[in-house]
Amino acid sequence: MQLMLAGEEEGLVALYQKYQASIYRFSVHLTGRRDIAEDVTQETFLVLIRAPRGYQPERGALLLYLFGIARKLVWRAMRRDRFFSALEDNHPSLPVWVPDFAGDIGRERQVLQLRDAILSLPGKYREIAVLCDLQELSYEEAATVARCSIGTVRSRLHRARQLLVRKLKGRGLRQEAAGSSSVLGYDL
Amino acid sequence: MTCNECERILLDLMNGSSKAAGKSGRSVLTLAESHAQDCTVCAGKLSDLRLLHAALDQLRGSTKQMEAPARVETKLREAFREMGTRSGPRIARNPWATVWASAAALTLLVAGLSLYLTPGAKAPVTVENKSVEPADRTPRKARQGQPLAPHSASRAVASVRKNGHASGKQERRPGIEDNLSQRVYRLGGEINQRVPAAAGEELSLNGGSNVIRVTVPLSSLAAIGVPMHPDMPDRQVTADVAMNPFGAIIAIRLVK
Repeated sequence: MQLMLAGEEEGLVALYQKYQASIYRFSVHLTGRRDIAEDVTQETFLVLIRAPRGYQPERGALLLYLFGIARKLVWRAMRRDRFFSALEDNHPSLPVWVPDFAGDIGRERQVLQLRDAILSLPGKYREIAVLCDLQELSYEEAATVARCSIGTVRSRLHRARQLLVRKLKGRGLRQEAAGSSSVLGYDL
Repeated sequence: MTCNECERILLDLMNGSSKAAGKSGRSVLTLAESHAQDCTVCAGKLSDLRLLHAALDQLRGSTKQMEAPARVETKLREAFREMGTRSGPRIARNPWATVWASAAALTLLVAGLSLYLTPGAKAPVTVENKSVEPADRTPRKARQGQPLAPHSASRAVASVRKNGHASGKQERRPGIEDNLSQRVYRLGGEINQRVPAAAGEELSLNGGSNVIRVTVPLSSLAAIGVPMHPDMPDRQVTADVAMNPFGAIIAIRLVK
């Protein structure tokens, strides 16, 4: 960051290499569209280039600041494109890459179902689910990004998970998918 | 443990922040699991959450290596270079500067208007140093509010400005002033020289009226009804002229 403030291009490149994937994935998960995610990623870093002093380290990590910018840009883009998205196929551009289970069609279908379920969530639940469950942020970090209280994050996340479970069960998600997992998948 | 508590624990343990719970998290989870063994509803919820967690793991794995296209970095590099060449050290703009400047300008405007419109803040009576044309050369102008202002004396009065209001306009003609020594004396400092009415004279100024001393030809006084000798029309005479606030003559006292 100091390098970038000094006008060194290497500083920008280092920041970009470090954070671009997170911002891009966050945008893809929120929108389901790679074109919007690409624009959002570019605009997010452009904001940082134009006003690097807008970031205040005492208010949180740089990644959270970038997530906050990307979040605003995503919703702005979604509002702008809401009349056009209906004409497109159901999120055709989102790639699904399952390297470990390439031969398992059932698991790939499961990922697709979960992705569609997340995209069908209301926005306020979707962004919290993406931040906490897919970007693996803590409640505090998600609250910083979404600019709400920790209690709000917790309640929205619980509600989002309930909705996701309901949607996944409604779509006949295989019970055996979780068969080999430990308790909730965490090694406590 | 109630079902609500069990559900809350299970949901919280899915969150990344609960990973740091350590031993306490393990004990809480053990409690929740033991509750779920006895409660079919919570057992179903636990199973659903396992299902969701597994699906989320797979989705995270499927997008783990997803990155923005390389062209984004190229565009950003170009934008960064352009920013660097276009502007040197940037001066941070104070967003309040415009607001403060507007407020100051508005305050000055209001203060100026209030001063201008305040009745007490009147400009002093001034008399312009302008020539008075002879009676026979001056075209008669109809002048509103001055029924008694027939001629040059009234033109001299017309040149009186009070409170910024010109009671009449008189074009300045070079040469006339020099040729004709018919001028209105400046009164007071440079301008005003008020002449108090002597006691016993029946002259009521009714407040707000002014008296100015003028030097005009006798013919000018004759035009407003003052008797004069017909052989001396160009003789200069000094007189005190009392005027009402509208510039109309209400009294004349011959001085010299």
